[in-house]
Amino acid sequence: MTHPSAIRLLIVLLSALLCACDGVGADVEILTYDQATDSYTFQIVTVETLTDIDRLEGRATALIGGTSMRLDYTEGMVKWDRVGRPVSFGAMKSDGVYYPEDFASLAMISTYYNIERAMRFFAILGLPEGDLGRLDTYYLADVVEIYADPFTGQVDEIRGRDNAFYLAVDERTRGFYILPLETIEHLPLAMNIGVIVHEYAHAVFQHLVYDRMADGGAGLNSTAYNYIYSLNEGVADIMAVMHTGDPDFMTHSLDDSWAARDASALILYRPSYDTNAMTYVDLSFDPYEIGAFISAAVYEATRRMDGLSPLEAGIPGETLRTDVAASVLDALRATGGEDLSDFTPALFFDRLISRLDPDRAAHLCSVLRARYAIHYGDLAGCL
Amino acid sequence: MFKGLFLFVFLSFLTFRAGDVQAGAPEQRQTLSLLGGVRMGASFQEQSWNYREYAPGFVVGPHLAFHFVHTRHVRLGVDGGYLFFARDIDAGTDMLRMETRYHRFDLNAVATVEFRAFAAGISAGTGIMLFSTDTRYEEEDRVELREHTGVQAGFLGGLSLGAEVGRHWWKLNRSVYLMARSDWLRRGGRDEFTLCFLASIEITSKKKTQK
Repeated sequence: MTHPSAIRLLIVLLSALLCACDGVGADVEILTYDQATDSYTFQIVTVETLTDIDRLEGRATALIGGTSMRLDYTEGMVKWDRVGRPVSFGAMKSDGVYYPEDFASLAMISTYYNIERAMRFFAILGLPEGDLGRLDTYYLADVVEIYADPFTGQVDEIRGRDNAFYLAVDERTRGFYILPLETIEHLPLAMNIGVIVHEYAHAVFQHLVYDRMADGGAGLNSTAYNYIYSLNEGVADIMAVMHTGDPDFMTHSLDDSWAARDASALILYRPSYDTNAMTYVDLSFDPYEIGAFISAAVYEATRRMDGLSPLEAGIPGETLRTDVAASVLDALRATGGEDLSDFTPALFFDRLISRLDPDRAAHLCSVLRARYAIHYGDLAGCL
Repeated sequence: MFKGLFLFVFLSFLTFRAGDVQAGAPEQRQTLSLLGGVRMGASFQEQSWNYREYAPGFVVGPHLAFHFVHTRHVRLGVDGGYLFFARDIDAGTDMLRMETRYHRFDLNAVATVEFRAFAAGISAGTGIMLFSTDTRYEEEDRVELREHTGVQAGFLGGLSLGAEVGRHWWKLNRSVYLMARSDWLRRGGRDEFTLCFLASIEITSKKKTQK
């Protein structure tokens, strides 16, 4: 090989090396929540757990695109038409910062960052990173739900839109699903940190409660199942509110029809909640009534622990919110280890009260005395 | 990022060396030629949310090629071009909009084989993409705007097929080439395919004749 040829080959090899030196983690500009102004603003953030930025893969999650599946509730089956493939993050890099090149890339890196923050949040609360195993995120998944009307029996199909959810029918389906936008005019759900922490909390709930049951909860009577389902939604909302400090985190993405989920609202537990839990089965049951009550009660108690009166506006401090969230996680862990065949929300509240120091427990009992009056007598920790 | 640029330089060295050899060969008639024209067609850019789906878009721009080796059947040279396209796919919600404009500059080493009026060529080099993004987020009465521009370079490879229609078919005193050209750009882990039609006029000057 002559000298000029060797030099040219060396140049090509060196240039190939230059291309292959992207490290772990990245600084990215995304739209993210600012609690001080209760709004989303563009900020440069560090995404720390990425191992492959081109494919948005890392310890927090791996984004998959092009997924197509059918959730057939009539047969209790998941049918994959197409599992999907890793995504391809498009960005321009300037002064070490990645700027998303298109809307989907902005949404996807925001999703990854939000899941990473959720993972870190739960690690601070006491759930080690990696305990949940691999959790993929199916971005813009085409999900068709097939269900039978509980009253007429008529089978119908709905193509999912404007939603994000956690699904864990089996190990293969386990992950987060971000559905296409159709009518949402505000902040996309995947960019809403509250929504992502909410969904991540479902994965934690699965790990701490459902996975510890003999058959994943399938053998429970429908009433206990409905109460646990409601607790799942309630805890997910609590975690989102405690992480963001935004009791109405949904409002950035969804319109006023979701105001019933505002944790700062005064929600009283009504006898109809129990009637509904005892009457309806499976998809016909609405878990958000009791779930919203649980999150609003815990949020109001946290406000009072921080010295805020019921009539005073204000958000409890971050340290206190994290402490309370850690107690909620601990209570959930304790609840999941018990026989839940006669579960009611009172059992969870009792486990939570026992994990709070007496002063804080007194505030929670005070709130529950007013809002959970019909079952207050079941709360051994408050009596 | 620099791989494509180095590859272009490397291939250019090779073609220049090839040109030297051709120029020194006996019985070799050689000319220099300059082709300029426009190209337009479609670009198929890999979707970021699914890398096996491609978003189509209209592209248009000028190109200029310089052939420093131009024998009866073979041409070697360099080719430069510009393409513009804008993309507004899945661009968000009413309150969050994002638009991206792309300006692509191509630098290629090209080799073309000609037989009678027909020509087929291959090219390799670098594509330099200039981005321009506008993002607008509106929440209540507050509006946030972000504008960014950036550069990304990648490997560019292409195939072309066409014919000299001017002198051969229309009896003009200038060569007019009509070509179909497809190229593949690989940048930042993403692929992009472009299919263009080129219309070019060639200016040729005799460089050297040896007998």
